[in-house]
Amino acid sequence: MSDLIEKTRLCSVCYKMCRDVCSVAAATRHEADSPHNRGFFAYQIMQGQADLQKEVVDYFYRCSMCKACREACETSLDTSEIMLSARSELDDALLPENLLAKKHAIVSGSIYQGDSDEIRQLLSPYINPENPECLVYFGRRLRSNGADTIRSMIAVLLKLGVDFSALPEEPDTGQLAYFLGFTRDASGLAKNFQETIESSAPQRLVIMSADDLRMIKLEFPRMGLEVKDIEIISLPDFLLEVIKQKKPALSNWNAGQVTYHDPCGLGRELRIFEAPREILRMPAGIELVEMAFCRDQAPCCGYGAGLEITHPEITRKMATRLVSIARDSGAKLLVTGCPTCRSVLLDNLAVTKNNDDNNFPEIIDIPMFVERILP
Amino acid sequence: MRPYYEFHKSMVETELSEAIGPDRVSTSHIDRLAYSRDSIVEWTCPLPEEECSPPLADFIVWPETTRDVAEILKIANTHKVPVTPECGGAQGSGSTLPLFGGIIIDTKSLDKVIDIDTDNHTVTTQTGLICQELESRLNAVGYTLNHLPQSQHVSGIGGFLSARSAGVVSTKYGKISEMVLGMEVVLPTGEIIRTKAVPNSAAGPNFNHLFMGAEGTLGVITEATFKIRPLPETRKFLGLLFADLPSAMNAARLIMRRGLWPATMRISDELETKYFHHHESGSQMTLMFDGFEELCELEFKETMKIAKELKAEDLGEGPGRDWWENKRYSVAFPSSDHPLFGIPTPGFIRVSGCIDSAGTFDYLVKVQRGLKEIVENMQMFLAAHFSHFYTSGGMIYPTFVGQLIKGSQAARTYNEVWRRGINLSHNLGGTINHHHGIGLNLGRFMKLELGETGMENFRRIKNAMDPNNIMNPGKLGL
Repeated sequence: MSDLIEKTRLCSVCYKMCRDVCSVAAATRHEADSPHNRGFFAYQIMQGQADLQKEVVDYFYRCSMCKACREACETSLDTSEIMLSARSELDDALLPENLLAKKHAIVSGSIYQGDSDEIRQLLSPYINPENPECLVYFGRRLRSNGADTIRSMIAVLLKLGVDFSALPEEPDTGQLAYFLGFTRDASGLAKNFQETIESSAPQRLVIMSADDLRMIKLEFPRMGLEVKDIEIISLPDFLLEVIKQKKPALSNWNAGQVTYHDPCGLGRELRIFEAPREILRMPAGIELVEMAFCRDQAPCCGYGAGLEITHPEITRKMATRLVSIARDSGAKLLVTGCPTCRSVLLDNLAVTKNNDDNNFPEIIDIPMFVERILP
Repeated sequence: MRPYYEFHKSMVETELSEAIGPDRVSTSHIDRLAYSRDSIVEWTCPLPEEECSPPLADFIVWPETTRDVAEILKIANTHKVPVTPECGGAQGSGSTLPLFGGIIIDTKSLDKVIDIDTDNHTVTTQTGLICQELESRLNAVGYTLNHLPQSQHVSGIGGFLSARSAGVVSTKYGKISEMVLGMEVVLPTGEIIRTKAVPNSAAGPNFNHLFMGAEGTLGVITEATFKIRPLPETRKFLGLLFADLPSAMNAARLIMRRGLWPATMRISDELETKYFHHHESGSQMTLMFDGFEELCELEFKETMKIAKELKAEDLGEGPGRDWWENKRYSVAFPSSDHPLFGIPTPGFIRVSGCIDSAGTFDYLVKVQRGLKEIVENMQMFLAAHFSHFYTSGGMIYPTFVGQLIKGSQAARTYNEVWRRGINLSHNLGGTINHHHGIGLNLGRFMKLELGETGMENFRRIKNAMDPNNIMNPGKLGL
């Protein structure tokens, strides 16, 4: 605890060196949203100089835990760690209203509805819960509304001749509950995930969503959990490996300039930067241009750590900012490394008032891109 | 003291909300607290008395256009509400502290890059971008502003102009004041003025210089056009160890006299050389040359001739490259054993400051020796480097750090360090500040800088432009 207090103190006295990379502060332009000030508010409470009130607590949830602050900090201070610790200590009475209303659904793993009819139909030929060679975990959000991505992924795997399976119903990894501070409930969900996957016993588990992958690879060990004896692989690593193995002929798709968004969970957290880029560079008719902020400085789409639930208005600003940065790269196509990011961007662009969106690039994810480059 | 608008504060809030939108006006305690802080220790600089509450604004506003700013200032004038513009809030002299409450205009919401013109080598931008935000946009098209202060991840364009800031490559590319071509400013009355973005002119006084350095006391700069350059093709680094500071300074003078233009030239005094560069004695100089290959080679070769004549030890490219690539910002990142950020001894408060100034070459070593004596006599520590050079002189960057016993004497002692240091700088012929700005902390010394007549005329200009004295009151000694 004293270590955390000292880290909080250091954040609060810093010259705000990470402020420009904080995706929330960069989107809202509000000083109170900078990691430095979040640290300052937290430190004031720790020192008894301020009361724990809803108004302050709200700022503890205005963080998508994208880890940009940690990457920018030469002393590796991580304000999101402070925010996570704060969230896990709070009574329900202090929670943001939006969060309180959805808490039960989050902690029971039912925040997203089950498969839509369309998705159930798409996946039904591939449902095989027992000893599959390759099990694809789409994630509960994608299973409820990601028909486009799922259709593309199925098409890609069929074209590449990959034998794959899906679960009849996917357990929640607990990532949303965890990052919102409901750590005990998250533990239960994570354990259920581990047991379900292990009982299915695939040789290999492909994780579509960056946040689910981050949860399994980085947070499960902290909770004393491990999905044993199963190779767990990210979506871009998997697709790259299969494409290299199968060596398919690629289409003549002349997409021109394409840019790539590094999801926080894949990029900053798991350091998976090159695999998706290698895929994007494969077709001859494509020129990969980087956004002004990419890799460790990539902006967050606004989904992370439940921000989309607690502060949807901030998610909208972050999504718009990300797509604006993509537009400014000159690319007409933005490829996201995570289908969740794509879904968040599209959902939020639809409601922005700032409609100079005739210049916004088309937004697709990696499975959709690969589908287009395979004849 | 009760502000004039106390009775009808809610009316002011209503008018602001109606002018720019309710979601761009805040009176929340959290927002007001976030804007009550400066860059230096604890709350602010100068030190407050014990248990002093921070200065809180009454309203925080986030305008998105020049028109928005104009409407805000008209409302502020009607109700005589003080206005403090703030961009990065990276200054350490209290310039952005809302001493008398009122409105904080957070210009960070003026964040649009309007035009990058690679044919004419200009960028026109709103002034609310953090430096790195603009720099990243320019780099993406192969260009740079070449204004790269150590605070480039914190400080903003508006702040640069308002404080006449300098970046680490200013020896070659100049301060921000040399980079700006034209600007748009909202005057204290809400009128808008725009100066032309041309390379130069003889059409009367240059109004850009009225607003640069005024730290928001004469208006709010909302847009500016700057010169930009292509990113350099190459960079070449050199480290040199001279026997002592005067030798290193002489080398700097000879380099500038030769017509060489290193992008950076940094000289550490003996203490900085010992503690940061780990040489037992001497004075380290690091240089960076940038541009096309042949130019860098030529400047490097000519510099080496001077270094050889002055018997400097060649440290190779290591120190310079390491500083540029890895350590440029390091001093600003906190850790528990950092001299600026460590926990003070119980019963003490940690203080620091940078008594930066500029003067001719013969001034620089004298002022360093004098400041060292002043600070050490007050039981504090001072290390200095010299990092912005001109044909006729340069700038000293002397940072003092110390611990003072908590209590009412702390603020007095802190202010006394500044008084002695600034008086020394002035008496030796230097300016009282090179690029960090005046703010609240150094306002009382402006009459030294301008003289009585100069200060009186500054006040007349202020009164003429800001008859209700709403713009950043309490700053710059006005």
